[in-house]
Amino acid sequence: MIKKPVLKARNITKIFGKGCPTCLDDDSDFEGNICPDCKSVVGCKNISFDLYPNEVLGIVGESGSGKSTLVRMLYLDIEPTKGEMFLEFDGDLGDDGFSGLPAQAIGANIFSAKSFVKRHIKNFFFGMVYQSAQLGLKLDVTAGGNIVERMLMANNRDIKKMRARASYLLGKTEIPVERMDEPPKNFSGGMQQRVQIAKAISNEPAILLLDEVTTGLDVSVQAKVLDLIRTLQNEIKVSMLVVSHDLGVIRLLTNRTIVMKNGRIIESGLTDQILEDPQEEYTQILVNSAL
Amino acid sequence: MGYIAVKGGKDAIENAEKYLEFQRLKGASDDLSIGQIKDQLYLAVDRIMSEGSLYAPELAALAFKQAAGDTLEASFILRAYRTTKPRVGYSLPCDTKKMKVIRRISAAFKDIPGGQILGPTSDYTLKLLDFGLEEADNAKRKAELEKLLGDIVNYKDYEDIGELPRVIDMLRKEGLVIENKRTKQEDIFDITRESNVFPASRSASLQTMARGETGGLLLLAYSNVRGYGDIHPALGELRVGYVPVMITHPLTKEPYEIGKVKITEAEIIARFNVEGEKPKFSLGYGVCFGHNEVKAISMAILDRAMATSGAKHASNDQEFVLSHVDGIESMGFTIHWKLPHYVTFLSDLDRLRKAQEVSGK
Amino acid sequence: MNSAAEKIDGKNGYNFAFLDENAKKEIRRRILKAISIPGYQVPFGSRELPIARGWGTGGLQITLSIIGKSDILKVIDQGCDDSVNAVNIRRFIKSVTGVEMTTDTERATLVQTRHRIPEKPLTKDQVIIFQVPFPEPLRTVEPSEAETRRMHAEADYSRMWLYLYEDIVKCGEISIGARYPVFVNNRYIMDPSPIPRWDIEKLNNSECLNLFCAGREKRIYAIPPRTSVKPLEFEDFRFRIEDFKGNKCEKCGSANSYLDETIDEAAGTRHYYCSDADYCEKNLNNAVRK
Repeated sequence: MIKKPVLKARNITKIFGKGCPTCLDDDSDFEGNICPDCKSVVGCKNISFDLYPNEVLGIVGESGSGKSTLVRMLYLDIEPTKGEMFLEFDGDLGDDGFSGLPAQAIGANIFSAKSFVKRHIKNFFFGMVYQSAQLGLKLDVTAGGNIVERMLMANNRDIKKMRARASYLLGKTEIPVERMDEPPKNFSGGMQQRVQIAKAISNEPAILLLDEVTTGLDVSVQAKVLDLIRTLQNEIKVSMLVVSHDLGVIRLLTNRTIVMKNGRIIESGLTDQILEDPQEEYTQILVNSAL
Repeated sequence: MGYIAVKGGKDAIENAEKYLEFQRLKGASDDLSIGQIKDQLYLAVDRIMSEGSLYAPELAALAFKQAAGDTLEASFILRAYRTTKPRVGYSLPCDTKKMKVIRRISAAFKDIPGGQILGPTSDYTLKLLDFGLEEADNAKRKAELEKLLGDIVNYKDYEDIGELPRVIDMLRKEGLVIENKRTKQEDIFDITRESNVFPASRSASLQTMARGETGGLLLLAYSNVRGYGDIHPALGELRVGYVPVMITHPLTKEPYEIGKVKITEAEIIARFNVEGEKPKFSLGYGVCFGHNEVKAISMAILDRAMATSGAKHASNDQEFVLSHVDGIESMGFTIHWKLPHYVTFLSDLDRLRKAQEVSGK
Repeated sequence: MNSAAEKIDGKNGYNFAFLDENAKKEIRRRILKAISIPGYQVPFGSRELPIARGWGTGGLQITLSIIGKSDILKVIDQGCDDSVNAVNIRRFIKSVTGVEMTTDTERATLVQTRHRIPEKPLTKDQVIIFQVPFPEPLRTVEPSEAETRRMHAEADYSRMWLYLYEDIVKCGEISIGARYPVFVNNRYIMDPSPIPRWDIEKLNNSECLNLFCAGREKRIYAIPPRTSVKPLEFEDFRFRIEDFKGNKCEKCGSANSYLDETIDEAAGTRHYYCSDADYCEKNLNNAVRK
């Protein structure tokens, strides 16, 4: 049986600046990421892809290629200039108590939903791990509190149960449970990143978004974080989108890969294929420089 | 039982009011006339009109007398009076180019068309106590006035010296300044009828500051130029004078002058920003009723400071500035802590006792 | 009455109930909006009154906008009709309306209050008006108004819940005394004004109309009759009202009312009396009659 994609992205475009037909039309294109006519900066242009259940999809490209912009749009942190995103989900999406709106969001373009619905989808559907722990965590709030916040978003209201889950997840991420009531500002970078991961998966999201999660960490710490992500993927069966400029990370974690340059997808396919036999010149340079 | 049983509170309040009134009356001096306050303490009157947001020199002087010289209290009395007056209409936009200038200076240029006009300023007076003023002496006062007037008969508050060009307009012609967007008259926010929402429109922002408390505006503006987000201002032009207030005549539908108000206006030129292709100077604008240069300049600095995107310091944060500069609000709330809070305090105490009990376990 | 108040007795050009009719009409429209969206803070053009901001100007504007000549008004502060602030507000309203004043909770058609709800449940023919210092319950976790309005719009309340969680982790208890945040109609988190937790349950499914107004912060909100009001609580950390540890009012003997605690320094003892003065007096009278 062919599974339906859990997320479908269609023609997502993000222009920083006023924009004009040249940079906004789906069928116009140009070289580089500055619009030749209106000089706007192109963050992403015409991005379309599918993400399947339990799949780990990689997005690779050098810094400035638009991959972080893309992932922040998917997570509804920033709004695309145009484009659509559809979600498919048969699990429990949570009930907000009265509006019934979240259910309507399934199958419709999420980008055009009300902000109330977007917030709900964000809380129930996605988990996000940012490159910087400062973005993903409240560094002054206890590590446990950070994880619990995610569960509170999904309407959990039992403190003992939430704390039990938080300590389970901290154990999984190899953070001493005794440090649960300490703020992450006392933790090392690698530990902070692991708290972020524990937080992101605490309410069992359908999709986990990982944005350069190992960038800036020591090599030995990187290995630990990657190992953790791999173990988790096996255990909790979540679809993941892994954004990285590091082909080592992409090789280790992903099944399929998208290569981005100047805000556009230039190549995509099975990760092994892309690494062994890159078609585009840019990908070849990327692969060669990594090896 | 002290505080709780303030039975007979009505008598206590009325006696307290009598006691307060007694404080104003008890000295052996002559009673202050409203005219004396208006004429001789005119800067206090100006400040009260501006913070009370009502242009009424006699009423402001009365409020000042009644408040025993407390400008916050006096502005409050005037503002409370103002609120009982129905809004009968709006004036046409005031064209401050038509100001009958009594003072006008620019710090940005040495020579300006129309010239630097120092006007009535205390900028260069030495801050020495003048013991010549010690004795109230009507004859001496009259003689000095006559000496100052010399040959002048029929003295007026202002002379018609024609329209003076604006310093900023000269830069504007050369394309050196970023234009602030003009608000259409029908889109002008009325802060006396609507509650500010944030981000506030510029019209709401300027209105809020125009009736802000001088000290509050000064503190925030000073924090900016001292280093917490310095916008690097230069005083493009400072004007003091009388501007005509025009309304649409109900019958002829023509603009009609209903009187003049004394205002202070400041325009500052600040750091340049890139607008479109070219870098240009940015501007800040301040205006208030009466002669109050500290307030107009502070307001202009804050107007510009709040336009800095990515607010970092207090003076850059529009919501912070506008939510805290109103003297009547900030004073009222700050002194409300004098009211009894024993019900809420006991509720807090209950929590503390419980928390101590839990932590003792 | 002193000279300043005499000037405001309707004879000298001041309108009935001080505010001009346009202002009253506008405030009444905002009240209607507030009633239509229980718990939602409606911005309004708050007027300056001759009483300082922070001293009940919100509650006053509501009272002055809805009061009619046949209304009977009760004003309390800390549950007490004789507290100086209550006296002062009553004196002002009396001088600009001439309406009848009462201390009797049952007789009042309007009750303006600061920090308490009368112990005797109010009926469908009564309106209670709360003076509100901080209308925004989320201000504790977020200083910006623009941001808290967004949070309400999206029902993005996790930070408020997190605040309660951290409180429990640090103190073993939720440390909020008065001003305990509530959920109104399962939609908005609302600040019930600084009433003690004791009074929170009186808001739930009440018979009367509850109107809240903050003059300085320029917000009106409402709880219509028979609306669900729930304090924020966890399944395993329940909301708890103040515990008087079995103490009773030393005047009327009531064990069912919110008590004021006073300290007798000389004797080194504590004493307890009803905070609701009218409730206490009625209890006493009933006891005498029996």
